[in-house]
Amino acid sequence: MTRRILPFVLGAALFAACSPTVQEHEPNNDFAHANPLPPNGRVEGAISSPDDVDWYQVTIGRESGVLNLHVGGIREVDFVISFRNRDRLELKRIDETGVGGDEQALDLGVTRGEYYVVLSNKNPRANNPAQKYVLSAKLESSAARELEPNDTPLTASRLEVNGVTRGHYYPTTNLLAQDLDQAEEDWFRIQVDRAGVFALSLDLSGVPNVDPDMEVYDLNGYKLKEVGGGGVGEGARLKDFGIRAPAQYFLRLRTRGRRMGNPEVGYEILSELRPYDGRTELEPNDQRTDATPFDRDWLTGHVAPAGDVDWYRVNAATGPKQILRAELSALPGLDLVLTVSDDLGAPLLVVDNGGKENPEVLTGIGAANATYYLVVSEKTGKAADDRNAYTLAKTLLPWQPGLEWEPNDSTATAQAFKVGESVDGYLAPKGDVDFYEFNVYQKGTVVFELTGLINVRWSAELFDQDNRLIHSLTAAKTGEPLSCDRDLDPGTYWLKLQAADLNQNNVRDKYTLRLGVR
Amino acid sequence: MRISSRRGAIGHVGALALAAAFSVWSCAAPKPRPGVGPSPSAVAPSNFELSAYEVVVTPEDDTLEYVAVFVDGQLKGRTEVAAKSRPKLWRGMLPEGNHPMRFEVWDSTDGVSGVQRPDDLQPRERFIRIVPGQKTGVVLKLYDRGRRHLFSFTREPE
Repeated sequence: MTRRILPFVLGAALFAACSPTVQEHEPNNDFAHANPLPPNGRVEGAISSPDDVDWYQVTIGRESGVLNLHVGGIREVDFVISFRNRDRLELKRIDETGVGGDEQALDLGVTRGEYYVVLSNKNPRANNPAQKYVLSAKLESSAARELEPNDTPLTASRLEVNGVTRGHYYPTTNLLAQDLDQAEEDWFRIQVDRAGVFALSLDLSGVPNVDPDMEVYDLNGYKLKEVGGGGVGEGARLKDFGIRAPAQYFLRLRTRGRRMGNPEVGYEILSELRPYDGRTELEPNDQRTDATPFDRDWLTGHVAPAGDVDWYRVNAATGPKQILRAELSALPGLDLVLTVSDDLGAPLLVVDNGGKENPEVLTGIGAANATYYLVVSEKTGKAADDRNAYTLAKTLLPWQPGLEWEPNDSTATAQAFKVGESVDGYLAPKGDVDFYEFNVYQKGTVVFELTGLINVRWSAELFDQDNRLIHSLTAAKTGEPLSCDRDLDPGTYWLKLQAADLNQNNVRDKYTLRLGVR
Repeated sequence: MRISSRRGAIGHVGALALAAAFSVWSCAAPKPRPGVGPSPSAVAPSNFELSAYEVVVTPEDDTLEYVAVFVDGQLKGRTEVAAKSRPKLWRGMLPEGNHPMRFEVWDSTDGVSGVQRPDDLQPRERFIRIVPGQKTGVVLKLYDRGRRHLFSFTREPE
């Protein structure tokens, strides 16, 4: 603690030693009699009565800057600092401490001209005219700084793109808001003028005593993304936010707790804007209409904040029927789920084979002249990881006769095939059921053969065209093949394949199903 | 009177000649494609009814189509030409028993002729049982832009 405060104390002492000090001259109770306060100086004054108000005028001689004000607390006096522009319009009011406490106004954005600092007392019983207070001012460069007041989108400060922007969670309360208990907010404008698609990443540093919340809004005021909630003292990250420039967005910083703030340690927002290369997700992609185009073989993404859902659009409209395969890497501490949805967003297949810290594999789903969506989420909706990225890889393979065509999980979607043919397929993901439909045109003995699969104990059922179960059998043990023959009349039949234990599956090996007639 | 009789005789001969020519042409002409074959009468007795329709996403997708009905590998007729979303009917009298039936979907641009959809967009052939004394109804629903289909069946006393 001492180490942290020491530079501040030394700096303040050095500043005090070098700064010009002026004395207050009463009466200075209104703007017409305001005393000068050097922008890099200090003034000594007194609160002569409880309702004494001291006006000071600060003249800024440079194009822009950031002004910091500090008044040291004195006995019995409860200071309030009011900062006003040349028209005496109040820009900021600070009242963070009680009787005897210091007050400071930080990051006040100023331009060339006059401003007023009004110092008043809130304690009606204050009676300390003899003790001098010291009000100090310090003017700094405005480059890459928060510029108060920036409490609304209209007054947002500019965010340094590809750089670091600094500010403070201070004051804790916006006393000029209609709701007197409204927490302080800092708004930043993200402006990208260069045309193109970009990925913006924001890294907000942690600040002691502050649990931050970072939100991105569009020009309409619609919230696009929110991150944070890592806890007190933690930072927040927004990775790969998609920007189709030229564009403008707003960033809102606030704290998650009431009266959270830190005047001593500021925050830093590190921003990185890079042309989009198709290798990452583009947030927000939390719903179908905002899905990130998935044109390359793989990309990376983050599940953050908790509950984040990432949608990717796969366009399979390239001609003949194809099989879409996908692999999702594991993340430490997270149980990821991969869902395949159709072009209207209806889920077709949920891949949740592995548990926590296991990859997920989509062994294949039929894709014919349509758009599909791959959706990555975390199973519980309560875990997140903004540091480690998952990798989602996909392949589109041409479908050939003799390959399974998912989804074939019901009689309505059963895959047709002919007696005398064979089909190769996967019994995956977990809970997969494969239906095959075939016609018998002449009464005969149909022979059915199914190869064994590691980790699968086969169960098969045969239904006639009236949906009556006419035969069922189960393999003796896991990994064993299954076969039987059956006299069948002409008709349509369905063969249902599944694991005896629905938790069993095999994403690695294909099975082969053969139907013959004797 | 005589003249009119002669005219009448000539008229009969001409009609017979035209009928004969039409008969020869009918035999020589190739069998009508399913797409252009006539629709069956809706009032004839029937023990089978197909009702086919398609789920469309936009009004622009709601173009014309019809469905040709094959029973035991033979073309039996086709539905009327109508918008995809409208149920299109075909009724027929089929022999009792379990028959493989195939319903071919044809797209039509002019309401008369048609273009057969590719095989992978056609409903698969399946057996349907015609039960004595009962009328079998089949509803064929096409969806997912024609890529998927669903059969549902009803049976009522004739």
